[in-house]
Amino acid sequence: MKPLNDLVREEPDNPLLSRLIALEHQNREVGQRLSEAEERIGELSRLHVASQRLHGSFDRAEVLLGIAEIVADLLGSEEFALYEHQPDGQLATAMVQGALQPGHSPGRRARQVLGTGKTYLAGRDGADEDSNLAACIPLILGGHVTGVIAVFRLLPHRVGLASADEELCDVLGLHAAVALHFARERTAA
Amino acid sequence: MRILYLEDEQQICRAVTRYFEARGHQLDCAHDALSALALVRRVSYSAALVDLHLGNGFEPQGPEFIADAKQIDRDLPFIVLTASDHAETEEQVRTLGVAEFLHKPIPLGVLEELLAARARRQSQGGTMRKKVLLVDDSKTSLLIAGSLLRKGNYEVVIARDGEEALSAAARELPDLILMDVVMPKMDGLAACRALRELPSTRATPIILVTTRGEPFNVEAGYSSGCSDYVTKPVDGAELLEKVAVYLG
Repeated sequence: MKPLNDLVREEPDNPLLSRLIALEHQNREVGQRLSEAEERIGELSRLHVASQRLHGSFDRAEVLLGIAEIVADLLGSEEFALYEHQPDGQLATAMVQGALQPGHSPGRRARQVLGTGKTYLAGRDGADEDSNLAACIPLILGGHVTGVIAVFRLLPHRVGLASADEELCDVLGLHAAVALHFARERTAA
Repeated sequence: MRILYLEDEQQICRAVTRYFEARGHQLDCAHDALSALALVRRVSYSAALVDLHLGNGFEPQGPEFIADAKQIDRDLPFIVLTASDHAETEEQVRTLGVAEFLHKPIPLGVLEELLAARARRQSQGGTMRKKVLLVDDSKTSLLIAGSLLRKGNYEVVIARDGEEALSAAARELPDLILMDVVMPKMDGLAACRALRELPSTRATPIILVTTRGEPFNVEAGYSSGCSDYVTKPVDGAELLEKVAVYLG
């Protein structure tokens, strides 16, 4: 069977061939849009799972485990820490994973994020020379920064964080703060 | 329905065959396990009725026949006919994934209902959904992978560590196992090796989910007997493509 382009060259005025070419073009466009839609559904599903996981329990240990799973399984890092402001204003390490020591303290960039409340992403905001952060996610509750999740190193096969990861960081920062707050309230009650 | 009937007592065999043939089914009787296996190799049956204890001294017996037949036809459903005092053997057969048991003397009416229900399921479902055993200790991973697989129209069964995976695999006989590597009690590599030792899962495709994509770790996965691997964070499209390679 001859390629379509050859047929068109032979019969440039054939309306059926022109229609066929237009349909093929439309078909490719629809295929592309379908693929993009499926990718977006995957990203939204990831956000849904993250919030579902964070709000699945009032138990603080379970909430921290949920945060650890999201950073490890969805962002792709095995080395991270969570720092929280205490009622007395001090900053405490709530969780460390990977090769970090329990007494590990946040670097300059993490303190900066604590101050500004703006997520830091290494690819987007330049390198963090102080502590090699890949990302730093503020925990925000009622407009206040209650802590940060410092992601120190991504898994070796992860080349960097994409825009979908940025959305996940936003969801994580907001929902983790709320989940930790309610877990604390529940414990206090 | 075309049904295989493994029964050593020829008189019972004839009576049951007459009963079901009068109701439009075709029963192929085999009086020993080896003849039954030969039939399973040749014919695609809708179900197999298996007398668990073959009194004629032929080897293998019912449980061994079920294990071997599952190697030939993974989707063949079994209804086991047994005496009520063989609980231990029944338990052994349950671990092969058989769920339907009838005690002798055979309640023909109940058996007929079981077969009719099975026929309804098969006609409604067209092709049965493939079953995936998902093994991970992370609830987040289970939620993500479970949602992806269900969207891909797979039936999902869950286990939370390697030990649970072994019993779930024996019970559920999944068409594919998707298993995390780092888990408590028994890790994915050890579970993979153990699954390859079991007759019922020796040939089941196993896809390992690993945080480590370096050649050394991938090699360790293949050495344990896995069929393929994906890295975390799991890419949904990649995962479904790999599953489809094995399940079609």
